[in-house]
Amino acid sequence: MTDQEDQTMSEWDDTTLNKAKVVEATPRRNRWDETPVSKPTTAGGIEETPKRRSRWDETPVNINSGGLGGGVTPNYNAMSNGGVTPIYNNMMDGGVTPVYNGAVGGAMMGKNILMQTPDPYQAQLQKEIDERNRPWTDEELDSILPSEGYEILQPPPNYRPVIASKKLTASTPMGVAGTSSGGFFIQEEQSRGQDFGIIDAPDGITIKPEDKVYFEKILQEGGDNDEHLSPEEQKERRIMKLLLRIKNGTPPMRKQALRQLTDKAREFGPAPLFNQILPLFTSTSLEDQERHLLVKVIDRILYKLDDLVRPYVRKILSVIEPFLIDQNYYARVEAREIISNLSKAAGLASMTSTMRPDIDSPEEDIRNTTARAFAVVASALGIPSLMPFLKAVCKSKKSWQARHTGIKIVQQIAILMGCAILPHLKNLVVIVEHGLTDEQPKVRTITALAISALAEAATPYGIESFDSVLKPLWYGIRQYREKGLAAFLKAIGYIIPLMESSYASYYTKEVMTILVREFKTNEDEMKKIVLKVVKQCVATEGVESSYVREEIIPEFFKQFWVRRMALDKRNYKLLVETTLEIANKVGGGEIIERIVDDLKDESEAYRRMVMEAIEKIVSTLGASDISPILEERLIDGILYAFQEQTADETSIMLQGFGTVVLALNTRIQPYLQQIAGTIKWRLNNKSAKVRQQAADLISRIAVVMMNCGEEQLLSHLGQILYEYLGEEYPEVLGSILGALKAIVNVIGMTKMTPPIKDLLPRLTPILKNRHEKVQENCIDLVGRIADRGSDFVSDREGMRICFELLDMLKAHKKGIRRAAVNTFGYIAKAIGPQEVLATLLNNLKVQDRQNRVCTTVAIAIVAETCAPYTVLPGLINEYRIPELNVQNGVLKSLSFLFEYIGEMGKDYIYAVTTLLEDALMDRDAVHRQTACSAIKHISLGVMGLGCEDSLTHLLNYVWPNVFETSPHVINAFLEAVEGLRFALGPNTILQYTLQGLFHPSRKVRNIYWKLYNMLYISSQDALTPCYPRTLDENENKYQRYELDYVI
Amino acid sequence: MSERESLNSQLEHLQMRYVGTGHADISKHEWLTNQHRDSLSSFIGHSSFLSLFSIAENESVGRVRYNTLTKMISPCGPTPKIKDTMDMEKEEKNI
Repeated sequence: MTDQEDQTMSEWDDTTLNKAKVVEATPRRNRWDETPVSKPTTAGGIEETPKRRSRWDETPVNINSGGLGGGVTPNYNAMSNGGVTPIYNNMMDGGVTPVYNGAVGGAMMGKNILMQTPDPYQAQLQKEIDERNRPWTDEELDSILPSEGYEILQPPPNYRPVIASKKLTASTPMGVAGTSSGGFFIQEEQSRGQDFGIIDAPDGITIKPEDKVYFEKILQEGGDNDEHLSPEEQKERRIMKLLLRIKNGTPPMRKQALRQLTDKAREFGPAPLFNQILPLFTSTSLEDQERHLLVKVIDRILYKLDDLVRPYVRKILSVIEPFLIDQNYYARVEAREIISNLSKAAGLASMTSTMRPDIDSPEEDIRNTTARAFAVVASALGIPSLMPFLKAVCKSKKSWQARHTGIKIVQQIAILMGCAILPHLKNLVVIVEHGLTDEQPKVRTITALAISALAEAATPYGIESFDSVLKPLWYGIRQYREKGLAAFLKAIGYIIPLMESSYASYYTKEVMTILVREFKTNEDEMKKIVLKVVKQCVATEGVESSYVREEIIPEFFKQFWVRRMALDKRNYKLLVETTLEIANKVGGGEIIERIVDDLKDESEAYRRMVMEAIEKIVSTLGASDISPILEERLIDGILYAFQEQTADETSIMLQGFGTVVLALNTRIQPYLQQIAGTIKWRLNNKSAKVRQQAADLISRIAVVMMNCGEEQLLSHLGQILYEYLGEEYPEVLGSILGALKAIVNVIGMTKMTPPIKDLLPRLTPILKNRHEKVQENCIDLVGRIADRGSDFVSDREGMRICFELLDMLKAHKKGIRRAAVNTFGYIAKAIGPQEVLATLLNNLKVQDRQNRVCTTVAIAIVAETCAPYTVLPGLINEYRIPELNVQNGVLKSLSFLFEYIGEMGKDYIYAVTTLLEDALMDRDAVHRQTACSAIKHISLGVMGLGCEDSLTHLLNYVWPNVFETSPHVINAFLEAVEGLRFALGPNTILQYTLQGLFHPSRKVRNIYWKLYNMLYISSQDALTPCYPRTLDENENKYQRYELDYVI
Repeated sequence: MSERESLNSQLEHLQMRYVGTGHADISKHEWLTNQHRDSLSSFIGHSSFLSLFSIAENESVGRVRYNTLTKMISPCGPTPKIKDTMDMEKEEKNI
């Protein structure tokens, strides 16, 4: 063999290895009907040709494509470019199996096809598979094979192609055959648009191809020529059309269809309705939204059909019940809703008789769903109505399955209804209690679980109801082991918190020996239950700390505080919670003492768990009972754990560090040098996460450092952070800015190093950063500097910042916008409003609406911080520009301005009156609307300050807008009138209103009565003296004589 | 359009929850009855009104209070039955 052959060989081998799937999946026979291969493979020199050909059979090589060397097997990426394998979506897995939703693999698909599931989805898949695997035509082969070196042979006489077999097509890999004569897949795209894409149904509704099978009848004929159909078929089609509209139509269409379907429900009858709805429900392609709509449909028609539904209870239940144990929460909720409505419509009798046979079904799943369904029935129809039935089932002698299900129903009722079981608690306990001594272990277990569910639902009441079960439970925990014991312990764990303290203490001691014994268990479930019960027992009032200290703690820490517990998330959480509960009982110092050395454990997960427990304990109990020696060990451990962390997906270490430092407060002083050293070292770390964490730690402990008098250290850290402002990772930069902010906050502007005048110019360019965290922290810091250290802000620097902030006014995050607007105010105060105002007023001319809105707010803020008289002249002058946006912006600024300045407005109201007059007479509705809202704020601000003259004048301009129809304008008008009502008194407004209350035109009356009602609701009493005098008519006395009394 | 309607109907719905509010089709009698009831309850609520009336009517305060309460049942007398106005209202509704 030559070198080249060798190379081909090895490559070939590689391919076979890598793509073993492809080769295995290709049945040999397949090669025959596709490629006319001349000779059987032989060894020796002529090996190359057949080898190459066989390679062509199995792994497609794009021979046409010159880019890939002829002899080299292309890798799969190249193939998809080469186009032999049609990859029509990204999910295509290596060109072998189209994986549609990740979970459905090739094997699964094959199986389904063998079973010939009549699933529309499968049908579509099958169609595609067939399309790709149809036999090669001669033309296709001619076009892709070289004309020389090949000859066409006759198939062997004993060869019989089995093309039609489903089995064959299912196991044939697809994607091998190109479909067009070019060997590529381009032409397929066109047909797919019709066959596989979205289907157009009547009324312009589009549906998914998978749904086609349900709506086939109306899709075929357009549905209009119904004459030749029987009434039954016509009805069926009508329902189908309505369902289609509900499921896939636009909201108005859906609403109308739903109403029609509901109104006609009794006319259609239950049979045709459910025959169509229920199959839709089981469709695999049902989306959440569609299921919700169908549930709505069923709800409504159940309500209408009422008792007509009875014969279909069984059918509906069999479809809906499986949803009760669905993984999707909403599916469960909606199933409950349907069953609840069903039981209201069909009545208890038919529900129980329908579900009765399932109660002792041998299938566990059926019993489970039946129990849940019964619980829903109980919550819909009330527990008492179901009680006799439950009693009978729980005592059933016929089979233990029935007893099991009966007791499970009680458990589910407790879980579903919560404290609503309290009135029936005693009865529920009585009907299950005998199950604790049942001979079937499963029944005993479920009984204990039912009792624990009842106790959990009843907390903190109802201990007297459980009296009768205490004894069997206590015998039980001594008698049983493993699973049964776990359930019994769980029941006790939930009952103990209900007891009085003296009993609780007694029973805790009783159960504790067993619990301590079970500390050693290896079973996960048991471990969880033991932890939970310990937590519940320890939290009970009657249990003394000395008992916990002596009896529980030693064994508890020995068995549970081990590395293995940190691996499972739920164990981890429970253990931390239980430890916290124990610490609450015996004091934090003692517990921390026990685990503190584990902060230096080898396992990081374990260290994290220890840190979380310490964090929780310190944050709830404080650090006062941590002795100086323990304190030293604690800090040492924390520093170790903090430095050694590698997987930093959680912030537990950081949080723990921060909490402990804050709790120790000044006691941390001796360690600060060391901590600062660690921080400095980590700020310089290669990993971005580590740097970020170090910066975050500074912002958390800066306050404590100041308390400890470490001003110098803080300055030093500030200097270092300043040097790191060139950080390129935005997350880290954000944290560094946050840390700087914390330091500036505690040591003040004057003492800050680096000096503010150096720091600020470095911050300005950072404002350009697009990252939200950076922006927010940076604006906060700049704002803080402008606020507190205005002396350090030079005019030019301030203007530069203002320009940067303008962009920030349209940030997506509200926090950033708010920070930007506030900072505007501070800077305007620092450098004087003139310059800033000029910038802002110019900004009113821009197109972007959000930007303009923010600018108006900023103008108002500037006016508030620098007194209105600095801003108003410029603002009013700006209104003279004959440009819609600018004028509206001015009006809006006025609105905000008067909102912010409140009472101060009384000095400025005359200044703006003429402007508002003009705006209220403008043709543009937005002018009037904005002016109205400005007037609202003015009048609310100046109420009772003697501005009635001007306000009455403005009211005369506001009032003509009473007949506006645009919702925004009329709303603004109504609010302005409301505001003026406060400032002018309801009587004035009433006099305006009276003129239209009995106007001949209904349109006039409508809005005037609305105004009257507004007035009436808010000042009913104040209106009584002001109603117009009305003369008596015939027998009706309309005069209020009392008001005429004069003494 | 829908927004406008919903805005209006919402506000109207809210207003209708209060006794004593009016609407475009209210009759004079109904409106005045409401006015009277409001006035009477206002008199009872402000004790100075009651004192004033008791002096003017030469009755005890308790009696005036009682009278006022009784008056609230039908402050303006029975509902007038005027056929033509009702017809007019109906016609207007149809329009």
